[in-house]
Amino acid sequence: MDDRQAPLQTEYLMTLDMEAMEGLEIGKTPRGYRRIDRIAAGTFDGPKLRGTVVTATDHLLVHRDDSAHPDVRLVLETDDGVLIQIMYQGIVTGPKEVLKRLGRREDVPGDEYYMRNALFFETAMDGAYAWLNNIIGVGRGAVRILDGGAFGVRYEIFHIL
Amino acid sequence: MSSDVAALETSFLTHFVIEAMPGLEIGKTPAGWRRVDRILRGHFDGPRLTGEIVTGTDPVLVMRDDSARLDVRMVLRTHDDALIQMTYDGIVAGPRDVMKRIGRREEVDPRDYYLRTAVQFETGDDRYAWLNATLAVATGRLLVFPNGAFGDHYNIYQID
Repeated sequence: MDDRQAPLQTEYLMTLDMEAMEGLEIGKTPRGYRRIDRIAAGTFDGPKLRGTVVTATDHLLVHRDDSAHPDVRLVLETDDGVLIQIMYQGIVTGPKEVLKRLGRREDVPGDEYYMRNALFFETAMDGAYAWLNNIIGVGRGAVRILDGGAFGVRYEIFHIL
Repeated sequence: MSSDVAALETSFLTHFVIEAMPGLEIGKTPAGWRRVDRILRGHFDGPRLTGEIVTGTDPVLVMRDDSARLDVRMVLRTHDDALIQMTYDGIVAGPRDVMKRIGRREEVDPRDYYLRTAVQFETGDDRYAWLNATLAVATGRLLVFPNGAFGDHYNIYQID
């Protein structure tokens, strides 16, 4: 009856790689520092789904403690031609000096900060990926500098079983 | 690439027991069937987070596939008197007949449906500032209390 503290079961879903365009700096607003990040290119790859990122926008909000709060809508296209919308919100936090470096889009190893997100999916009910509509995903993220110097973000995403 | 992805690390944060008031049935809207659930009472108990729920509201949306979306705002008071806002989005999904039974508030085996939420916290209390920097997920189970009230149990895990 009592299932307290049973370990959480998760399963690897996919790795999402995104290359950011230069941010649109909305600037200091009453809510915090707002920057809109758009994705120039991206891919996702996992055991059950793979393909490319069609479009993505992150209405990032930086709070007073320098933590950042992504608020993302993105559209994926699978290699078999299905469109999937993802909505995610997350947290990027860590020592102030590390967050400043991330803000300058420097390359910082993922274990120096906490970048996590929770993802919800939307796709056609009668489609091959309908099962995504009713799961929650959680991502563990890290930034990376791509060949050519572009700033990228990678999330390893897990299905919360 | 998939084989060398390290497992997601999580740790148990707290356990919630929630008793809801009768739902406010907004009814069939363009978005789906809307029911607003309010929390009558509840408490939570975990290694670093123990206390009671002060208030909470969940505008549940039942969608076309009979799955439901949760959109909860809650205020917690810890045993040592810190106030914490907890927000979560969640999914309740399962086979149609199971979802119908849940809709009639019957007791259903939790293995027959998926109730999971993604949780975030906000507090100004320094003792719990770590919660501002924590993303959590919960696995839930719907409950029917002996008095007929409806509610939930949640195990909440922080994503490490």
